[in-house]
Amino acid sequence: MSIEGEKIRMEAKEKWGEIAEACVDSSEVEQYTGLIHKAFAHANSETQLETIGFRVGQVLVEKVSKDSPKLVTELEIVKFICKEFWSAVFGKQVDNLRTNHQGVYVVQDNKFTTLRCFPEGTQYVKSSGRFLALPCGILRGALDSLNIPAIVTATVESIPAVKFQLQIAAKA
Amino acid sequence: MSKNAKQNLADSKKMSAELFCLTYGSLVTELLRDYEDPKEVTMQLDKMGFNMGTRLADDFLAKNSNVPRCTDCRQIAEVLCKNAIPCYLGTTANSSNWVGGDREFTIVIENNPLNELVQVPPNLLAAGLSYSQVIAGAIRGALEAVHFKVYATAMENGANTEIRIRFDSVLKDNLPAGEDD
Repeated sequence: MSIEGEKIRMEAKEKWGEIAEACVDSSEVEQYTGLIHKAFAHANSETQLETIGFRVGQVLVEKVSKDSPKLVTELEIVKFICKEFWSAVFGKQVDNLRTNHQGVYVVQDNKFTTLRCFPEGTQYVKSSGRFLALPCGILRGALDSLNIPAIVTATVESIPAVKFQLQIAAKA
Repeated sequence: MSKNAKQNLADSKKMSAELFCLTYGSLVTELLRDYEDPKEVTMQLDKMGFNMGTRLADDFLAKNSNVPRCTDCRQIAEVLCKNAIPCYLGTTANSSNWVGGDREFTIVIENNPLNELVQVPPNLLAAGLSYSQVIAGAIRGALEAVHFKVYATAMENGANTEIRIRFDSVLKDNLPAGEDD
């Protein structure tokens, strides 16, 4: 979370504090939904877990990549993440890596570590999101430390297989 | 990463110690940001540890079928030091400082893995943050799951962590409503 984002949040919170004093009717409150979202967005558990993961990934990738040869291209870096980093952090290599050569990579892990103690199948797919926020953050942090800003999202169709989508921002 | 660590990782039950301590450090940072009061963070860590402990007790007993039923504090301390702490933290521990007729003792965890790769600012420690309180909470939770009520607090001591444990009572199974003993 950036300092700037924090500032916006604090301002929104203050403003909401003033407005909340004056509001009596619940319909009045509805006008300010956007403001409320801005002020309290940080409390979302997934966002917080992602932030925690980001910091972990940033540091961890430095430790893992210490002895590796120089990584030059984007593909090399993503491959490094999928092989060395993945096995150092999640205990195994990925099962499948695909790309459209335009900055989108899809990484598939058929037995992802944080979902291993879930019963297999589709029953708990909905509640698995929270368990994937941290690894998503870790991957984003690792890529960020290797100088690739990206958006990482995870999708689950059937536990414990997970598809991570790494969407790499185009270099300006 | 050393060769040894890599071999350990091949065993799916073991995981990277770095991931563990970095994640924990990051969690504490986030808690400090959330609660803004180191004392409150210590309390939250204790609570989290307690919840982990009640589950870990099951896991521990399932994996270590050779652990006998404990009848006194000396035995509890021995199981904690010889089995439980090496199993989950991968480091050794010793019990000492027995007082109050064996009802109070200290466990010293050598080279606490949670303290690796982190530096806790002294001003936070002075303000009441007990960084490894999660371990104390876990011990309290695990013992409560096997019906021993104890009080536990963690203290930092260089690379080692001391956990002071005071035995309170043996909990009884809840009797069904309407039945007194």
